[in-house]
Amino acid sequence: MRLRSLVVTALLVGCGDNVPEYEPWLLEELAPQDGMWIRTPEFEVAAGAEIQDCYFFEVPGDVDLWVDRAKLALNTGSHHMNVFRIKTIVGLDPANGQPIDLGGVQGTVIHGADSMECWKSSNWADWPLVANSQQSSSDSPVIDWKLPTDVATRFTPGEKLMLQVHYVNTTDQPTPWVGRAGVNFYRSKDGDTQELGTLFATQQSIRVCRSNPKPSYSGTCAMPAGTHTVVAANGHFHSRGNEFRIWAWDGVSTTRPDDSQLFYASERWDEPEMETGLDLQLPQTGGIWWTCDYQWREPAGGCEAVDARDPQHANDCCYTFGPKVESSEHCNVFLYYYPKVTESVTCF
Amino acid sequence: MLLRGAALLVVLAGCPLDHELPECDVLDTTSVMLVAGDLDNHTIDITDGTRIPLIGAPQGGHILLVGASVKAAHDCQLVATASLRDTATNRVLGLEQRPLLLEQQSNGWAQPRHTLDAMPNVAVCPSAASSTAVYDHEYKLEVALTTLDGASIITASAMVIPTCQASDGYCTVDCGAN
Repeated sequence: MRLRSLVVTALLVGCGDNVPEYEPWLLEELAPQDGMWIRTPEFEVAAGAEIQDCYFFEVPGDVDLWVDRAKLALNTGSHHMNVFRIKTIVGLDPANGQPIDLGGVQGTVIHGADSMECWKSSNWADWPLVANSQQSSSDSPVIDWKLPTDVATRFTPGEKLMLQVHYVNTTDQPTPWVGRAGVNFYRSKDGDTQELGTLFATQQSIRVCRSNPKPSYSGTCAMPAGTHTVVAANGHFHSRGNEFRIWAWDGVSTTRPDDSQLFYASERWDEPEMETGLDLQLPQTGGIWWTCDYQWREPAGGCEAVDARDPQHANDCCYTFGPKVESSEHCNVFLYYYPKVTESVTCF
Repeated sequence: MLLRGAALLVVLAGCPLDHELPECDVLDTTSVMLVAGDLDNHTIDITDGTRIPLIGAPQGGHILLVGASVKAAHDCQLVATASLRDTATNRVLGLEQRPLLLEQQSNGWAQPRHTLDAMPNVAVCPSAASSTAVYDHEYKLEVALTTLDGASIITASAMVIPTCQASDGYCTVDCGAN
């Protein structure tokens, strides 16, 4: 009943604002022999609101699940969807969530509106990345990601995962209908032997201020020794972000790599491209160099909310690190490579 | 008249606004002091053998908060690139480049502000590039200063010893050998 009313509401909004009619994306439901599927319920995102929810579930079955294809689907308006493997429990405990039906699995959910723990990145600092999407445009709501031959993500039975979904409904990033996310993990059936690894890197203590309106932040992230091939990557920042770039780096130089080494560039903060067709071998004992370029902008509603969350209380309208799109900033790298050599490569 | 107005606008566009922190006019490019910060708002001058605190960062991991002081006449900024190198392997454990925000001191030096954002946060723990524990071992700290347009001004280096603080029990785990 609630779902129906949400759809009716969305349709009414659509009529008045010339928004196209809501056409939900469809992903097939997978039988256990074909993989694992997750669907969030539809949920309303009120005008001006930011919603972040953390869904927890376990990998079903009694044998390892090797996945060589994933479909990641989002209704328009999503800021991100991340899947992590749950490790150390700090403040975000699945056991504290409410039971929820996630379609192919049963789980629990902690709503960011009820608990700030779903917003605090320190709670999942050692949780390895599995997959992510930031693409939710109405004409392309589904990423269909096929891993290279012989490469797959491995899950163990009972392994605990988190699907985190962030929605925004503002002028910059409108949610015209309802929020909703879904993931299909397709079981590999061709004997893949090389495990996919992931890298997550973030810049610490960034600050984009009126008095310093064009800062640029760069960092490096070293890979363990060995040969590593990058297959996918994307960057993540908020609306002050002008350009996000990632280069292959030799692990030794302290100057930015030549642009012949550039393999990811995006000027889109709201729908940054997920590059899935990469086949880039990083230098031995190398890694990546990444840069976020920003341009400060006056917030639409004034600086009050931005100033309120500034730990320095500088009254300089400074956007600092944080999850809220409207009032804070990020500079994060999501990168996928093979063969996996460690549980997770993290640089922060 | 219109042309003159346009020319004025172009000139103004090239200048920082009054409230923007200007680029440093470095008075002596041969004088530089590497410095580190700690969570007690102290600035530590760095020479060979200096122990530098490993700081538990707000977003996870441990960083070195490092930069440099230069001789300048005003509050100003440069761009700093700081890195920590394992001299046994020549690999860089961590590197960060960001605006270096400096405050003029009465002694003629401009020193980094006492805030986490004011100088590079070199993320060194965890690091996939370390061949041994990061703490209590000697590494090479390198700092390069440039103008906002990237022109080189000064580079300096020193052998330093990243050090866990007694109050930070997780540091020896996070910064332990891989």
